Amino acid sequence: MTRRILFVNPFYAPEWTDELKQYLDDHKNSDTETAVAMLERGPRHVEFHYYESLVGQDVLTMVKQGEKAGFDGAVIGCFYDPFLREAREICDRMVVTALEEASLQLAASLGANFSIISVRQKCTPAFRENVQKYGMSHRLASFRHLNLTVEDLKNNRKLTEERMEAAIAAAVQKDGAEVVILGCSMMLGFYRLMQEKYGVPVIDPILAGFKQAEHLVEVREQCGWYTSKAAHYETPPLEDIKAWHLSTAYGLPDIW
Amino acid sequence: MTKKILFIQPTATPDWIPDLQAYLDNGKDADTQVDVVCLERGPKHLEYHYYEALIAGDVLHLVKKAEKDGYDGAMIACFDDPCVRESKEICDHLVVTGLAESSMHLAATLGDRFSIINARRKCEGSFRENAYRYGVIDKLASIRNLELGVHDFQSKQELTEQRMEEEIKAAIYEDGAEVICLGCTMMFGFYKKMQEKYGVPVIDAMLVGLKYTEHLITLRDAFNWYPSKIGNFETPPIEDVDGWNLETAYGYPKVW
Repeated sequence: MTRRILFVNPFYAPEWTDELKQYLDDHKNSDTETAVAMLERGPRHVEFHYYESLVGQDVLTMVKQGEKAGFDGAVIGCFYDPFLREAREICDRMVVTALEEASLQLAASLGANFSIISVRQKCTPAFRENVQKYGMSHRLASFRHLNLTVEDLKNNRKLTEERMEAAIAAAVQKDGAEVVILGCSMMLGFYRLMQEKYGVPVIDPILAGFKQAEHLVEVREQCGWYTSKAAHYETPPLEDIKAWHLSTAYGLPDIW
Repeated sequence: MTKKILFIQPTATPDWIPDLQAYLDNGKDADTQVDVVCLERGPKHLEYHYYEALIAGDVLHLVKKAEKDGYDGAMIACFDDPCVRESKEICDHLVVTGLAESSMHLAATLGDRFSIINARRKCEGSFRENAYRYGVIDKLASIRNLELGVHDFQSKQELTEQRMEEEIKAAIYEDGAEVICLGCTMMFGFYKKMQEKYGVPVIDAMLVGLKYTEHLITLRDAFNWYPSKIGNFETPPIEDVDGWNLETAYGYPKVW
C-alpha cells in the first residue's frame, strides 16, 4: 500500500523545495510518495520565537489541508518542532512528526546519550525545553554550537563542515556523546561524511522525522496505534470553531 | 512615578472587560494605572493549543504596540502564558509577565510544594511543561482538575466553589501541597475564602500577575534589571523584520 507523506516547511524558502523533495525521494521506502508544502509568505528562517509565532497559522493550515487531501503523514520540517502539539491536536487520522522529537527518540535507541549540534546559542533554550518535554533530559550529553548563521549553512559549505567537525569532535571526545544529532533542517546532507569520520551515528533530522512518519503510518495501519485523544491532543470542537467564525476571522481556507 | 500596565486578555471576550478592570483596580498600587484590552477577533477561550496558535500574532502586536505607546508593563492574562517568551524577545524595555510564571515563582517561595487547580485535564500537559520551563517542576505537588470550563467559573459560582473545595482539600491532604495556585484568569475572586478555609496561601492568578508586573517595573527602573538579551530573548534583527516585509505579509500595522 502506498503511503503519502507531506513535508511541511515552516519558513519561506521556495528555492529550496526541489532540493528537499529530491532528498526525501532519495531516502524513501519504495511504496512511499512524498510532497513538499512550502510557506507562501513570512520569515526566511525561524530562529526567533517571534517568527515561529507568525508562521503558526499557515503551518497548521497546511497540515490540516494535507489531512483533507488524503496524506497519511506530515513532517514539520524544523528542529524547534514548531506546532507539533497543535498539529496532532487538530488531526483525526493523519500522523504528524517533527524533527527534534524523532531525532531524540532515535538517538536514545542508538546510544546511551547524545549531543545536539545547533546553529547558534540562541536556539539552545528552546531545544532544551523540548528535550525535557520529550522525556529525554537524562540522555542529553551536551549542546555544541556552530556559531554560524542560517545563511552560512546554505552558502558556505566549507566553513560549515569545518565548524561541524570541531563541534562533533568536542561532543564525542570531551562530552562523551555516543550519538550526535544535527540540530537544523538546513544541515541536510552532512551526516554521512561526519559519521564516517567520527565512527558514531550522526543523525540527520530531516531523515529522522521522515522515517518516523513512515513508521508511524505503518503502525497506525497495522496495529491501530494513533495519537491519544484523551486530553492533551483532544481536538477542538467543530461547533466552537464555527460559532466563533474562526475561519472568517483569520482568513483561513476551507479546512474546517 | 505612575506605572502604566496593559492587561491583555488574549481572547475575544469584550463582555469580561468591566469585571476584570474593576478587579485589577481594586488590587493595584496607588500609583499604578491598568488598562484592560481583549482581542478583536478569535476564540473565546484558549483551552486548545490550536486556538493559542491562532491568536499569537494579535497578542504580540498588542504587546509591541504597548511598548511603543509608552506602557511600562504588559500582562498576558492566561495561565498557559501564551506568547510570554516571544514578548520578552521582541521588547526592548517593556516588562512582560505571564500568570503562570508569576504564580509559580511566588508559590515556590511561600511553601515547599504547590498544586495547581486547573479547569480541565486537557490543559495539564502544557501546565507541567511551563513548570519545567520556569525551573519549578520539582516543587509541583500535583495538578488537580475541576472538570469545568473557563466560562463556568463566574457563571456557576456555587458549583465552582464546591469543586474547588474538593480539589484543594485533596491537593493539601493527599498530594502534600503547601500552597495552592488557581490556574485560570477566570477563577478570580475565590482565593480569599479558600485560603481562610484551608489555612494555606491560595494564589489568585490575576492579582499575582499584577503585583509581579509592578515589582519588575520597580526593579527595572531602580536597578536596570531587564530580560537578558543574550540567547533565548535576543530580539530579531529589524533588518530582517523589514527586509522580509513581515508586517505587510501578515497584515499588521506598523509596530516595529
